[in-house]
Amino acid sequence: MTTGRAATRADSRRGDAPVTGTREVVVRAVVVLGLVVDAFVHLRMAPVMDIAAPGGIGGGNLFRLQGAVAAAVALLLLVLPRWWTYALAAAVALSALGPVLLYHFVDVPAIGPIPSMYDPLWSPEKVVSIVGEALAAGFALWGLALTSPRRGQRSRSLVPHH
Amino acid sequence: MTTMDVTTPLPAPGAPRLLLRGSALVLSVGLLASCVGTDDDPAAAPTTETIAPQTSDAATSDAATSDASADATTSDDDQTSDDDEVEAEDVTIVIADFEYEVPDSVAPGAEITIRNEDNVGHTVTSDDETTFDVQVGPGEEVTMTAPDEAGEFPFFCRPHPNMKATLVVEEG
Repeated sequence: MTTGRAATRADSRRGDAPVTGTREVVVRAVVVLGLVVDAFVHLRMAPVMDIAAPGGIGGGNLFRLQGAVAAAVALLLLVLPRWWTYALAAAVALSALGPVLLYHFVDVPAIGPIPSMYDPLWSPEKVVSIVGEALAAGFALWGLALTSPRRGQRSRSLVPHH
Repeated sequence: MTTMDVTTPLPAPGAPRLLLRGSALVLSVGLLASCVGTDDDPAAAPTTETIAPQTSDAATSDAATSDASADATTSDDDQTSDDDEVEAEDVTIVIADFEYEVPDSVAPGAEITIRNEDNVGHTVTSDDETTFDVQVGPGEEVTMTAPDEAGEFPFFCRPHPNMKATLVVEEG
């Protein structure tokens, strides 16, 4: 089994960029892109959600909140790739992916200030947002694994001592 | 009356039975004729009174008859009005289970009721988004006016673009 440090040494011998770094950049780019798509779709759909889910605090406001948070976390992750920013990104992406799937298949009634947002129909916006959120969530978990402090400790402990 | 003409000539002594039979026959015809003539007889009050209370307070049968006709016409008018009201009530677009239930056609300028039976809000928005655009909240009922021009008007729901239907406007 090749450890991260061993792979880095091998890559360094070949003159390539460090594997972990390149991989992390690609992963981060995908997560940021997914969150940007998530933010764009939510902010774009917010006005019609004011109509579809006017109860409670309003579906439109929830969409605006989701869009704003997704955009902020995407920016944060872009400039600060840390395990906790990846964790935040995963949480934000899952917080959008879970409900969109739930409200697609289940007619959830209003819960407190959260209005009913049932929508069993597919639309391009919904599909795009689901793809973006799924990519963001999956790659964010991957990025979290790549940047996890435990991974570094485990990698160091697995490096053979000569 | 015709009976007076029958009773004037006296029977001949030689044919009393024949004359009696003839007189009886003529008398019967005369009575029958008088009975038939009761339609024009103002004295035939019971018949007209029987009709009159059902139709109007008029004293004469002619008045009663004409009033009855008027009432019948009115009744027909009422029925027609009721039909119109029923048709007016039928001009309803029902939204249920994310589908539109649209009348076959509506008259130009007709008032259309839109009833939303879903738990989420919808719109009835013409494809050009200018002819009509009505929002109807969850469980709400609103009205809109049909376009003044005849034609077919495809529409959709803005929050749910896959909800589509067509409003057909045509002269009755």
